[in-house]
Amino acid sequence: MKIVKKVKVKNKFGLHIRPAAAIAKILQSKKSSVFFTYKNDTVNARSVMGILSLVIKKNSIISVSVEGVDAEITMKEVTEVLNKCFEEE
Amino acid sequence: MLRRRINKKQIILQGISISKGIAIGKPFFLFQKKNVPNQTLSEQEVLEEIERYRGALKKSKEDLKYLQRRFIKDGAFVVADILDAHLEILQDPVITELVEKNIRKTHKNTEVVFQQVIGEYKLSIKDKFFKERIKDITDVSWRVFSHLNPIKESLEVEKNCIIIANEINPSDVFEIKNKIVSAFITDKVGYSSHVGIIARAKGIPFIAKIDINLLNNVEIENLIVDGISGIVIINPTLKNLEKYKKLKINFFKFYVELKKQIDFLTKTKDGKDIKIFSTIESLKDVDFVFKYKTEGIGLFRSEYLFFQDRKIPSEKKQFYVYKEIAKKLKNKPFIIRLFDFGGDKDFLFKEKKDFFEINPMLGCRGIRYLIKNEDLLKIQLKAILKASIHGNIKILIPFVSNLSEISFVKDKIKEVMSELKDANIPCKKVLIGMMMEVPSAAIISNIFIKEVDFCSVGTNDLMQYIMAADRANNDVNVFFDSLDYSILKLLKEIVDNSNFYGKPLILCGEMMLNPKFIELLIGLGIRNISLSARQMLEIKYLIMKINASLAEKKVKKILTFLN
Repeated sequence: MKIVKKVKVKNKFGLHIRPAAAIAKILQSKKSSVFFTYKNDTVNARSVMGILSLVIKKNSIISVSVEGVDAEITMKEVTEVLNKCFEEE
Repeated sequence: MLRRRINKKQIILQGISISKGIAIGKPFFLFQKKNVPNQTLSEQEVLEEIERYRGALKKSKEDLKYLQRRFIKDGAFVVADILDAHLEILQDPVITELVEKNIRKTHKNTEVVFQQVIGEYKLSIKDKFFKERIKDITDVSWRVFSHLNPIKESLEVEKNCIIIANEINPSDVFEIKNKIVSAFITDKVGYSSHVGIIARAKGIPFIAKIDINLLNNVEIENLIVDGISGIVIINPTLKNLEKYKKLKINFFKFYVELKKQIDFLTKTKDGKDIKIFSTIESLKDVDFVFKYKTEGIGLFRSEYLFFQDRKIPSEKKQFYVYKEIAKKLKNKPFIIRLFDFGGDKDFLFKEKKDFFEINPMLGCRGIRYLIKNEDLLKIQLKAILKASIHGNIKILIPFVSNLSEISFVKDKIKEVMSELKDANIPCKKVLIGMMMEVPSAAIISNIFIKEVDFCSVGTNDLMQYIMAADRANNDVNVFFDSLDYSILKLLKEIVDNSNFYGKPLILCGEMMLNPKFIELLIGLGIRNISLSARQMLEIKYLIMKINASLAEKKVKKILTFLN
């Protein structure tokens, strides 16, 4: 199954290291392949460096594409992280 | 920041002291940009090289996991979280694949390929804010590098050496042993950086803002780090060497002297009593009260109970902690601040999706949060009241900005007390105090003070809200280096009102940690302070050097002058 969804990033400072790492961590146990597309660039969401290289700031809308047997739950959890706010040091 | 005085070969450089103390030793240059070996490999060597890369990754992961366990054990979950991010960077599948592919393709060694891959990513990020945030990557790649060349790193550092570097990573300082490294000198790094905090905790002298490049062509035989005045003396003269050897002994003696003070009551030079209380965060911290012989607990940051378990502590667990502390303290005061959530402590609610605020510092903080989450408040009050019979417990309400918040808590206390009575559980009436940290309360402190039994001034937040300046923001935190007239005037009013109505006042907060402020605070009439263990002795020492009546005159003069 493949799901594609637009998601708004709510974290105050955008997708910097900690949110990116949180996404990578969630995906460790998932089978689906997950890609983020932002401003015509697409990266593998399992790659912290890949996500960082997109420089996604707060309120940016990114396209999340999930494909695989556990696509639904994967999409749900990834969306949750994107909606979550991380403590900013 | 630089003063160069050449006296034969002696060079004196002025920097900023990050951590006090004196060290004499040999230099050890630690450069982040080390000369990367550049080799071209044969087909056979390529396979070995990939194994070497995987091995370094594995060892780096083990390091991080080990460090993480230690931080978790110490309750430093935020640091553990940062290390979690480091782990994810290490495990980045795209990077690993790319590095291995490029080793195969270019026949170059790991160092060259790794640096190039990471470098490209770093280059692609042009945004200034993101650039600042990806500093961790340097830390991670450095760790991998050190495992690629393990021998050089650990053996070249001589005993008692002084580390000189452009920048130091927190993990380096954390892992360093005092016996091997006697001081740090860097170019970048600020006082409140993680590195600074760790160095101070470990008692390693540290001087920053020294232009390291100046030392490139200087042959350094030995050097002195004077962490008291922030000076580095390179190739010191015999005279200086003797002087500092003596100073070093004196500095040590000073600390021994400080320790002796524990037994004295804290009095100013002219005999005014100053009562020092302990600020604590956990059950085991209660030992500080006895170690430093303080009057009791002036502030128990109860929200740290969440921090330890990362979940809402049950009534049973809370009751146990409060009871144990109260019993240990016997009849010494034990002020429990109700859960102070929100603001900069919203990390506690990471798991709560619905807890999002655009401006948390002006959001649902302290008592506001508890009023919205009444169950939480009632559970806490129940645990406190049940523990009340075991000692001298007082309740402190955080972030009060409106009188109704005080009456809300009072009503809830009544409610819980009658519930306990119905259930035949004994409890005692407890005194109720408020945090004076929101301007709306501080400005009319006379009205608020009448409603409570005591009050506590939280200087951090009060200053932050009065100046409308975030102390974590480097562009505006200069406001915290000096005491603005507005704050001085407001504090004076609060102290006067507390005296007039006979309601004790305790000062909490980092303001005391700045020696410049201690005299002013004493001069304002502050007589009770609550401190965390770390700076206790030094502040006590400084207080005992102050003449309170002179300080009072000084403050009066300032206030009338500016009027």
